[in-house]
Amino acid sequence: MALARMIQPFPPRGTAALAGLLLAGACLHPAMAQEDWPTEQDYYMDLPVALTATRLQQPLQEAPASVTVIDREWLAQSEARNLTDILRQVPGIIVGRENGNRPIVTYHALAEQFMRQVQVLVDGRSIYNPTSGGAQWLELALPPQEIERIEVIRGPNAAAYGSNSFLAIINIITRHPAETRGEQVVTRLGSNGIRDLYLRHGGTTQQSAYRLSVYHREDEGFTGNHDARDNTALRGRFDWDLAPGVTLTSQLGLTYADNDFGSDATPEYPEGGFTQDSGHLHLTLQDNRDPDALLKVQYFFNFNNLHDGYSLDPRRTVERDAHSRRHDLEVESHLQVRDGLRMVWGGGARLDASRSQAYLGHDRWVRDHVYRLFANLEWSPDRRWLVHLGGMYESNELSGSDLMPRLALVYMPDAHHSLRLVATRALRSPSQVEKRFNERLAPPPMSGLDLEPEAIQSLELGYHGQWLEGRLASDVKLFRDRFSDLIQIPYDAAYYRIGTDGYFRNAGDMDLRGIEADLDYRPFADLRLRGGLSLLDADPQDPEARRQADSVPGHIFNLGLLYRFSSPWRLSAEYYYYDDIRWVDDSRGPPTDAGDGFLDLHLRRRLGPETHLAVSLTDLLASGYDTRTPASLPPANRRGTEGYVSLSMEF
Amino acid sequence: MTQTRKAWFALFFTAALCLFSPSTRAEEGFAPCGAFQRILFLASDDTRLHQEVFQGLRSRLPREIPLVYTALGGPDAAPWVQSTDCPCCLVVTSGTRALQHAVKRVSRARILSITIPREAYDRIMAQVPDFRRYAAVYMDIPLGQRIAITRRHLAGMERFAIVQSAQGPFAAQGADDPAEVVRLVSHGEADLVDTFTRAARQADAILTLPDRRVYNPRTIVSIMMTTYRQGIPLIGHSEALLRAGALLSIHAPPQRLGTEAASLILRPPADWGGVRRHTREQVVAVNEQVARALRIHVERP
Repeated sequence: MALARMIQPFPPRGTAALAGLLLAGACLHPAMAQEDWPTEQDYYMDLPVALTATRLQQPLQEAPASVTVIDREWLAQSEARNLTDILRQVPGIIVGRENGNRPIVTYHALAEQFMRQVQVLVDGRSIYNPTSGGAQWLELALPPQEIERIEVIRGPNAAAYGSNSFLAIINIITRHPAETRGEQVVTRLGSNGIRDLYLRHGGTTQQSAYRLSVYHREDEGFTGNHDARDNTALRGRFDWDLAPGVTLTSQLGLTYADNDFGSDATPEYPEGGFTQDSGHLHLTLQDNRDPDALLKVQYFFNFNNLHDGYSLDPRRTVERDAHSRRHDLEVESHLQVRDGLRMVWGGGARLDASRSQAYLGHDRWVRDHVYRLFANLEWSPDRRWLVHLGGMYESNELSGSDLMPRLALVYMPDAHHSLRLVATRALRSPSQVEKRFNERLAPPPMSGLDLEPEAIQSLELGYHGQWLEGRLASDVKLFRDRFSDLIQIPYDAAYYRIGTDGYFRNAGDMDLRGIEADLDYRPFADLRLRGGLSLLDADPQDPEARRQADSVPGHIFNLGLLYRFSSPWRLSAEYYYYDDIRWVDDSRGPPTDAGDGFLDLHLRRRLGPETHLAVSLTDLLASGYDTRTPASLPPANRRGTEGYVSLSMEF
Repeated sequence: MTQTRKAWFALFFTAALCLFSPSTRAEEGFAPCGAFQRILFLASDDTRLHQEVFQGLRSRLPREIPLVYTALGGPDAAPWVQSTDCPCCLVVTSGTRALQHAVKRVSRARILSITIPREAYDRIMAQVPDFRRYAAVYMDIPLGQRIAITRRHLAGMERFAIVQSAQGPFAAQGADDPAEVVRLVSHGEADLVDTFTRAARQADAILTLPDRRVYNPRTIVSIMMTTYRQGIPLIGHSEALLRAGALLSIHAPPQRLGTEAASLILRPPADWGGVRRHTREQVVAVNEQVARALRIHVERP
């Protein structure tokens, strides 16, 4: 920077003289070692931004939705091997298992193996598969050690997250790498072939922080089933502080999954296996120079290659390979317009591409573009009222253009209690396979049938309150969801290749009403309880929606406990139950429930400052089947109690 | 001159300067002075911080007052210091190293120290026998004042915690703390999270100190995330801490340190050496995002 100089300095004469002067200076002023006392640098040093708007959680009292947060404390105590097991602690969430060691996760309804109505985001990156739809849980392979918290928005919120944020949004926020410095090793050995290994190295430099990890999981799946898995994931995250308040975050991931599936007992589902290699690159630039404003630009690229096949007989092999790609660019700005008025707005563009001879009927890439604009205003006319008004306008080659709005009123009579009224509309656009399936397999005249997006209109009246000096947090909601234009999928033809006369079509409306409670209670410092209860009632508006209505259980219940009963010992327990569910993609199977429920116990002992040993017993109340029964088309999942020992060391 | 001769010359020259440096000479008499003939702004280094302080100073001084900027490490620093070392001249030191340099090299000019914490100033001046030429405006805000300001902005703040390092500059402090302050000692990065967790349980807010063993780019994310998870606000001493995630910062912006110095220069007190005070240029900045996330209402009195 050029600074005014009013008097010309005496020019030093010659290099030697200058060297002498400098040397003299050094002699007169002994080397300025790092002083032990504070200097001005301690007041003006640049520091990385730790709490950005995207990292901070919106207070639940003010949220225009019902939100459950699995926080760092809960995750740190978790010895769960799968992220989906942790999600059982979210009220209303249904977690099932499909053959091939694949989880099924939905909220309230429409449970099937390709759950397309739940959006899953990792630091803002959607893991939705554009080819067949649904979250790629196998690709995720994210251990609890790397997660800061999981926010589950229980209800549609397409106004903020776009189409397919239809039933719920699972928002996973990973930990800043500066928090995971050093090395960590977690090993796990157990029954049924459980062999896991997690290795992590993290570090910091003056202006960056990074984390590299490998996560390997192996097990045999359900006892007696042919659904072993052997999954390995490599992940890296690098955060660079480009300037004070400006951060570039790069995340890379590669996952390889080798899973068995099928059974000799199910001719439509013969023994086979699939491999899946997938990966992502995620770049996020955040400008947080002004703490009250945030500009975020993010780009991500996901790829997924599924190699899937089985032999019906030695001369006939069925190949079901599928490849997908997703490029997504988004710009988002958070502004404090004035006191009491905040705004988040932005836009984005996405390119989805798929290639699959088996599902699309040819071996060429098909591409679809999505463009979106969104804005959400939050206005607080006084401290007791909040008005949320927002919407997402999406132009989608698969389903046309549409607006997905949301209006919410939040009334906060005091700092601890709030009432909310939320009205919203969301869409679930067809996947690339759904959209094009009719062209190939549907009989005329259905072959030209166009597919519209599924729609949901949701109305929610909720209460959030904190009691007992914040030790008890409660959330209760009454809701009514109206589903329309439900996409009827010819499961037998599309999934199991039974007949070829199926076609995809929009048919059926359904009402879903219910009440749901979420509690988080700390009776004292060493004990934490959380629980949830959902009472649901589905009412099909026409016979077409009967199958979807039958997928709604009468109630879902969860209870979790964390207890530190003496200094080195900790106990965690999780119980989970759902009532009868008729899985949408299983036309032959009877409704299944959770039997006596799922109960997992984890006992942990601290061996050193950063070392602990844990013993886990999962599904202690095992009886019957999980998700699929012997009468189902897919192979039955016979439940069984498993156990494993985990050792975690940090250096 | 051959290279060998040049080297010998430099060596002798250096030795001579070491032997006859100003610090080894007796302090000359301190004469009263109406207005400064020449003013040198001597920065610890040529960084944006000191440039901003200088800009604040420059903006408030009339153009006819001679003012020169130089920074240690620059080739012109030594000549400028030498030429400004006259009885009615003023050296404004900005930063700790600048004061250390001036103490050694300036024997006649008056010295005004700014952009320096009191702790650093006191330690440097402990070796100076005659204070009459030295004035100072400390950049830090006293603990009691920070507590009072915090209470004005945040209702219901009863107890405050301070986390400091075991071997850091504040290790010996605490005896004079107000009763509502509790100090916790961190013995290294390994116990930082535990220490802040304990601090959160014992207090309503955590006051930061410029203790670089605790607060530095390596540790700040863990500190911010820990306090955020515990739901306790951090009251920072710098704007960088506010940006990093503190709820409030109570600090003096660099430009205003400069303007405050200008006021002193324009109206120099008769008792120049008696001027030793903390800055009055306090800014309270609020991180609205954090306030909202913690559900804390910040009053704006």
